[in-house]
Amino acid sequence: MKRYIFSLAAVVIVIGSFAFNNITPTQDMFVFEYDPAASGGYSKPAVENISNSNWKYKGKNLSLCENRNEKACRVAVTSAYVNSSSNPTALQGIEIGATLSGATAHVVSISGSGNAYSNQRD
Amino acid sequence: MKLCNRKSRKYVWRTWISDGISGSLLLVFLYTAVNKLSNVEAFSMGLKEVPLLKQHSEPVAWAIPIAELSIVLLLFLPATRLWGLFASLTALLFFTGYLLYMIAYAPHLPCSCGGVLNSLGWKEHVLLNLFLLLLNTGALLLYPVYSPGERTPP
Repeated sequence: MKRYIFSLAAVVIVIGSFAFNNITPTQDMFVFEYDPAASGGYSKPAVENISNSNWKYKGKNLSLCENRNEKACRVAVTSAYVNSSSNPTALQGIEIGATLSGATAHVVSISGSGNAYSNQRD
Repeated sequence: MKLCNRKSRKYVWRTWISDGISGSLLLVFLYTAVNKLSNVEAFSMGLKEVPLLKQHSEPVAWAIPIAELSIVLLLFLPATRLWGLFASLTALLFFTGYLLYMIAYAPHLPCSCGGVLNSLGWKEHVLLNLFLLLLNTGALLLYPVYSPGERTPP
């Protein structure tokens, strides 16, 4: 029985961390990720351009990035700011503000209430 | 008799250390497996950005967490723990190889978002993996192997 102690402790920690962290959001958040390959890198105009070639839909209620303000990563918007809530493919009706830090741009603002942004390290 | 006791004590502490490391590895594999299974769709989309896996992203998105859960099961049971340590060493070697390949060849590294490890960048992830590989190897070296007929510690 002693040889199960560490394994059981590990299982309890994992169950506990999921039980306390997975809080269901009050409304669905649609997550889009910046695609540098399709938009030609991390220039300021490219990050601010909300076309679906630059910002690709990833899924609902996904976690955001580490939020190191070095280059653009993900934005999360409510259903009012996507082209279709049943089959979202593009952002609409929002403005993304970006600033250049070194050779890459990161997001500094997003319009619309309830919307959020995150950046990542270079 | 004295020699026998010393040998037995040595087996006991080796068992405790290797079991402790196995528990830590079990924690890592179980957390990452549950994290992937809780949003397979997003994990599959992330795999589409990996040059080697993009064509098979959907089956791979299921296969990886299932393989991780198999390792968890092997590590959980004392009877199969040694096999679990070999399996986790193999998985960690593959994953470290994948990270190094991506850092070396991917034109744009995809976002490593999600889970408790989302604060880690790609290079930090490699360092964490090297640490886990070191622990895993240590557990295998310390794992007590008993000769036939010898009593195992309780």
